Amino acid sequence: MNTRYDRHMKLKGWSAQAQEQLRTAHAVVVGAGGLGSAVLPYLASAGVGKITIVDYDRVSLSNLQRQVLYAEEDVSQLKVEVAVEKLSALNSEIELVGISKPFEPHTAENIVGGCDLVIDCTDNFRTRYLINDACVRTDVPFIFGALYTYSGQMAVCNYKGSATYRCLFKEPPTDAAIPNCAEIGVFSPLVALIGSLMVAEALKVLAGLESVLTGRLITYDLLTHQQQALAFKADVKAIAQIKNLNRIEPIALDDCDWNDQTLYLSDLDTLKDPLFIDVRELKEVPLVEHALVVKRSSDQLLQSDEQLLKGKRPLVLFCATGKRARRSALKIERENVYYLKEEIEDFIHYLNQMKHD
Amino acid sequence: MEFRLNFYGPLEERFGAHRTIQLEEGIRFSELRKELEGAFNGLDAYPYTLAQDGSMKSDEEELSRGVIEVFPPFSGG
Repeated sequence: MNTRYDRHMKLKGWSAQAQEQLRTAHAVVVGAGGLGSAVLPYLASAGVGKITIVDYDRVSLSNLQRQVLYAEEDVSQLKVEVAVEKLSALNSEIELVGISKPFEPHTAENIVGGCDLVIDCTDNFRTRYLINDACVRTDVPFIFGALYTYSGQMAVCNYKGSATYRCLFKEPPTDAAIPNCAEIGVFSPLVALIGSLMVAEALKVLAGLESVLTGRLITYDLLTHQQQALAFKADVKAIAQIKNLNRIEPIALDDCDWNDQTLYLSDLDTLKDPLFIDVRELKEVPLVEHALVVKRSSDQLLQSDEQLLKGKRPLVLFCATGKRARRSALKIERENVYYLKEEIEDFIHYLNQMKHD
Repeated sequence: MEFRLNFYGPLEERFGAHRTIQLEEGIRFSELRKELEGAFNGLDAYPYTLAQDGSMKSDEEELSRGVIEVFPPFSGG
């Protein structure tokens, strides 16, 4: 045992055996955004032997306010690739595996099956329920964390028979009633706080410590510093129902904002002669004025006589965050229709650079 | 009797952090849901879980004296 882990080794309740368990452990982290940025460095620095990171997203400027794993030079790069590089520099003794694809029903059980722990750092309900179901079916414990403006939630689930996420929130949302960070913002220190609580439980699970928090939902409000630990019980029927399904069924709500129509700024240069369509309301600011940009509402685009839909020219829909553009793009039955998953300020910066080039 | 309600997250934004409601003690939490959704217009659009005395409550459990906590799931990460 080298001196790298000396400060853990000196802890009462820690041991060489605990450290060895970390060395041989495999953790899967789904989501390398805010919570992932807080969780991943501590997993790596503590010596978790193998870490698999799953995320399809690229670094954007608006991520840097809270996703402290990334720097300005990483903008437009795949988060998974940047994370693997930075964590390798932090600890070269561990194995890091990056999967730069969405966490999908047909791959979920293969990804989590056989690992020791899954850490859910996602930002959407579709993936959260998928992680729950895949972990229940493969008998893998998982820790979830979730954020809403200044408040956060976290819990250890499916650990030695403990309750699951579906035991806590039986009914998945049916529409986007609960907005995410892109729509309502998030207080940056909250990701550090909830991420730290998650990784603390993760290390306790992986090192085999006895004091793992199970059957409790931790909530924390950073405005009032009010904290609660609420007990919740396993719903044996709900767990059995998931185990007995022939295959995992995703929830009806599709709030995972990625599909093969998704484009990032770094993808735009690969398109030949694209036309950009602003689907925001008429009076929304900032105005985007450029020779390659036209304004059309979602309803106008769905009209059968809409001239823009004729031909095969690539159409790239955009709005303030990509959410509305995505909804519109999904409804248009035509090839070469995409949506831009970027903040509008970043897109305007891109257009301004085009003017100068 | 009067019960105090604590709402969290988007429910707090919609209905306020603290509200009160007149209820009969001893009703089941399944009935409590109906009472709440009748009293707070739009609550039924949200998924939420109910807690009292530091524990989440199932539909079959009975309401006792004390604050009722209404927690929605969060999605941000």
